[in-house]
Amino acid sequence: MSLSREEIVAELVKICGPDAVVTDKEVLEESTYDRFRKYEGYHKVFVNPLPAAVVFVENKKQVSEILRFCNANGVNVVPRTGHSATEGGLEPIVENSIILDGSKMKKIINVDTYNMQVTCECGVVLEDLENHVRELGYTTGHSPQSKPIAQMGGLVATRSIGQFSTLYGGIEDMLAGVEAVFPDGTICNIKAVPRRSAGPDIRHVVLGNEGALCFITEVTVKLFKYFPQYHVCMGYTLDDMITGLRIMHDVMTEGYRPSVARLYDAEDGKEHFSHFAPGKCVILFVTEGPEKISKANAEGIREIVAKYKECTEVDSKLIETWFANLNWDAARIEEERKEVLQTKNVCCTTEISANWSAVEEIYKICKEKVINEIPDITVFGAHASHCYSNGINLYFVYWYNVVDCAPEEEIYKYHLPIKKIICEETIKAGGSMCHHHGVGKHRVHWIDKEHGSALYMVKKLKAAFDPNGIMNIGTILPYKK
Amino acid sequence: MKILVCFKITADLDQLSQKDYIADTSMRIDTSFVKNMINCFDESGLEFGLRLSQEAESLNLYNEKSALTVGGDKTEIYLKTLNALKYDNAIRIDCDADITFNPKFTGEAIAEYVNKNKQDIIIMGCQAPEGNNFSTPQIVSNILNIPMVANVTDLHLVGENSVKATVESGGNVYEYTVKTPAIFVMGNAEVSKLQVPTLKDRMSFGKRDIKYFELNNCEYGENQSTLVSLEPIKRKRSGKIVSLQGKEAVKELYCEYLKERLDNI
Amino acid sequence: MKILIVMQVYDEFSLLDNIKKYNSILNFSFMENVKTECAVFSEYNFSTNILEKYIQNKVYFRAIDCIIPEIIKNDIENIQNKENYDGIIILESSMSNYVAVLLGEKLKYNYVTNVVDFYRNENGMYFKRFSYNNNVYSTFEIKNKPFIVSLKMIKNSAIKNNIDIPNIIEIENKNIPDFIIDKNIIKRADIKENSDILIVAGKGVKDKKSVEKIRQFAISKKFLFGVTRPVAMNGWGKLGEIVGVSGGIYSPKICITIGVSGSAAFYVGIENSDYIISVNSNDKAPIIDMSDVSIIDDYENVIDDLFNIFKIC
Repeated sequence: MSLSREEIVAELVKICGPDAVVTDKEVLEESTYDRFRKYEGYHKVFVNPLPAAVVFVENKKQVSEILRFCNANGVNVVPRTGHSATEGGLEPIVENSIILDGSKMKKIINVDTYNMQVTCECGVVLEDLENHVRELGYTTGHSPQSKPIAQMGGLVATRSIGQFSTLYGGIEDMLAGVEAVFPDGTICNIKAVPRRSAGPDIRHVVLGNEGALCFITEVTVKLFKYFPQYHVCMGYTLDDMITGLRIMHDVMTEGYRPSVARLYDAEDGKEHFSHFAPGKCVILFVTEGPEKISKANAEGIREIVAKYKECTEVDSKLIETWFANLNWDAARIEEERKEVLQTKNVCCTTEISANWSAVEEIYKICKEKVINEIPDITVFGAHASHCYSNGINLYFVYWYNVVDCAPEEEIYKYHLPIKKIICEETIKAGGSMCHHHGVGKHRVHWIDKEHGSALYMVKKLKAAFDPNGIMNIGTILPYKK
Repeated sequence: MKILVCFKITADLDQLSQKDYIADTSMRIDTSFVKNMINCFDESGLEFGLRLSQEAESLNLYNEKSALTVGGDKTEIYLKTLNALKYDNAIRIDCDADITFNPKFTGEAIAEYVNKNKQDIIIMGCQAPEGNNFSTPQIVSNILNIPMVANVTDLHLVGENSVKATVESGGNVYEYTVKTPAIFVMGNAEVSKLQVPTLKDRMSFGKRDIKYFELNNCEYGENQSTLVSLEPIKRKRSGKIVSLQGKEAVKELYCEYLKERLDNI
Repeated sequence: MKILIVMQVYDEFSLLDNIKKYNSILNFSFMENVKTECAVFSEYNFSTNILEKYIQNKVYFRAIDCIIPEIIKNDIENIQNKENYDGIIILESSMSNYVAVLLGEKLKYNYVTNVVDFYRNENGMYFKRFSYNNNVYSTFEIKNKPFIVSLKMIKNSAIKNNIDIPNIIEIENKNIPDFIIDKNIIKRADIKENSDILIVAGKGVKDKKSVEKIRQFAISKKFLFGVTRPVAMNGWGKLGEIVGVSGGIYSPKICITIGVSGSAAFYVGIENSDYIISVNSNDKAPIIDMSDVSIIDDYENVIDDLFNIFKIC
């Protein structure tokens, strides 16, 4: 028999003390959604059941005790740190869940500049960590747009990636060691070593688990020397997105490694660059690192771009200023809330990845289908922001007016049908339907097609580590009642 | 009924950092490298223009709504958007000169347009963030001899010749029923964001011609008070930080910094 | 030189505020050897004895339903035709800029709005105001009189009693411009406390409940309370509580900012404070360098103890 809300709260209070357990209605309501259902949330419409409580843990012992309790009693646990997830990963979709919030675990434990690693708790805000190491002349190299808000636990749990990934890699390249707690209360510490061959790389059980297997309590990430004085910013305008993709391909396959390689089509670019590139695509690169490397990369990239006569270089100050204002903080989210409520115009995104040979077709067909099949679109565009030798991502950005539609219907009328087109076309073309935001609860519909025969492995991991199915029900794998 | 909304395109000054506020030898600050935006008070005005037009339609009143700006090429994409939002006329008075501190010219240009194209309702923002002149609507009001309602936070059509304006003044809120023609100057309105046109409307309506109005009577010239300097403001104080945190920090704050001050209050 | 100083009074608080600013203006070097007279337009019903006590020379007075720029402009125009002042200074109010420019345009005088400082020398008269979102001082020169300025953010000065009783002249024209068909006051401003301490909540105060907690504390101690514009725009604070260029300008003895980052547009609202204390978890926030002393910590860790200090005063 399942526990009542009061019984769950009582046990959490016993483990963490009353100040750590929040049952305030407004806090519980705000905890039923993340950025995926922001339209509903801004309208104060809450479709998911209210969790029994939000519990702010302070150490791994509390995490272990709570998970053991929930595991024994069938209580769904939604792990959370920065609350900036975009795919519904933080939604409690069953009754009497708890939100296990690690944001109070915010100690930077050890900065080891000789071994080039930093260890911190899961609740450290990335921007705080980055500012801290920058004062010492280092960088984590990790800079997603959510940097001012996102915290380290969540960034690892979602396999996040940042703006400088083309040089520094995604979180999977940065994570040296990690500690996580599993549903039966076992605390596992994976030590930080440069590399090892001691069986499969178990960091990857934790990386990207989206709270469906464990709760991350501590991370160790690599450090890199920071040379802001050698940054080189280059920007170009051009007419055609496909040409831009070909330039990106050439840069990567020739072996150059900018930290930033970004390409915006004219529609997505409108929101950012209309003051100098109205109606144009924009391609931009940043190189960094030690002086000789940064300069050599910049020179090589310039040579490649010069072969494409349709590209016109722009003043680097335009690109630098744009970059300095790219990230989202709490103030910007509040500004968005107001704008959405007044204009009923919503912006959502779906990010995918594909090999070079597939990406052009995916871009064209998604654009065509969405514009033709979905009503009330105000903007449909894309940018490519993460490059690899064997392919690239596409970050589709779309805005629509919500017309004659209750807030709780918005995702069914617009957001999910758009995602369906993009995910299905991408998978059909051999790409991946989720590049870096995670599956969450709203791409589970296509998880079988995404993994194909390898879904067996994902299911086995879930069965092995969370046999009672209490970890973030409905995430990565669909919920079957 | 004819509605005219005047708007200005400004730089998004939030993107500038402290070190960017250094004027050049002609006393201008370069903002060309940051994004542009519709001045926030004018954006309210443009949204009210659309809403008043909808109110007129529901009262079965014929109405024509126009949006007018004085500026250079950077205004074009905004005029296209206003066309896509079904403004009947999106008009530009071409001006490449720097009119940051010359509201006189802007006011005279708008007045010249209105003299040739009579309006019943004129809506303008109270000021724009670069010049902070807070003058243009008053200049227009004086030249045209059309009365002005200031600090408007809400607007509704009452009938063919009258508008209800909510005004904020001295912390109080007033409601005026005003006979048109009149100028309504937008203050801090709750309605501050402009609707967004769909792709389809951008294709159908956004491609209509932008209208260009040539000035005959007014020339760019000296403003009546002369700008003699522009200096960035350094707002530094001692910037001390207490060394401790939590309870101990407050104790330190009180003992070392505040005790004497509080005793004197 | 003979200058007319114009006051617009809404309530008791703004009456006292105007008088304090009037005293402050008289101390400016610009006003040396200048004869000043006043025009007072008031929605607030008060005895003109107060004017006799604090205002010098002559006072034109009009009790008025609603302070409308057109009305003030017309009245001052009539006064000016009679008196020929060399300059007209309009003290800060929601309508002062409108009055200044309408009047300046009508009379074809030189004018400057939003003036925060002014001085003169043998070359001319100089008026300073903010531009570029309050990040820059722009100084304007007016060579020829008469001039008109509307003021902003002038610090208050202590009130001084008069030696001589001024001449109070009631303005006879009671006309309302005919473009106004109807007028109503639908909401009065909250009563402002006259306090030496101002507390401001910024967006670092993470939720509505916490803002309310700070507000209630301020109310209980009769302190001034304000919010930054983003907080008001979230609905966590009232528009009337906004501190800064688009709201209230304050000059308390002590200003405490909690979770405020310190944009220029906000800071103008507090920069005349004698002493600024900030609580912010980010030591890189602009407010830190612009404060006298700061606590770098999450406000939740210090706020109760901080309030306790002020409970004893």
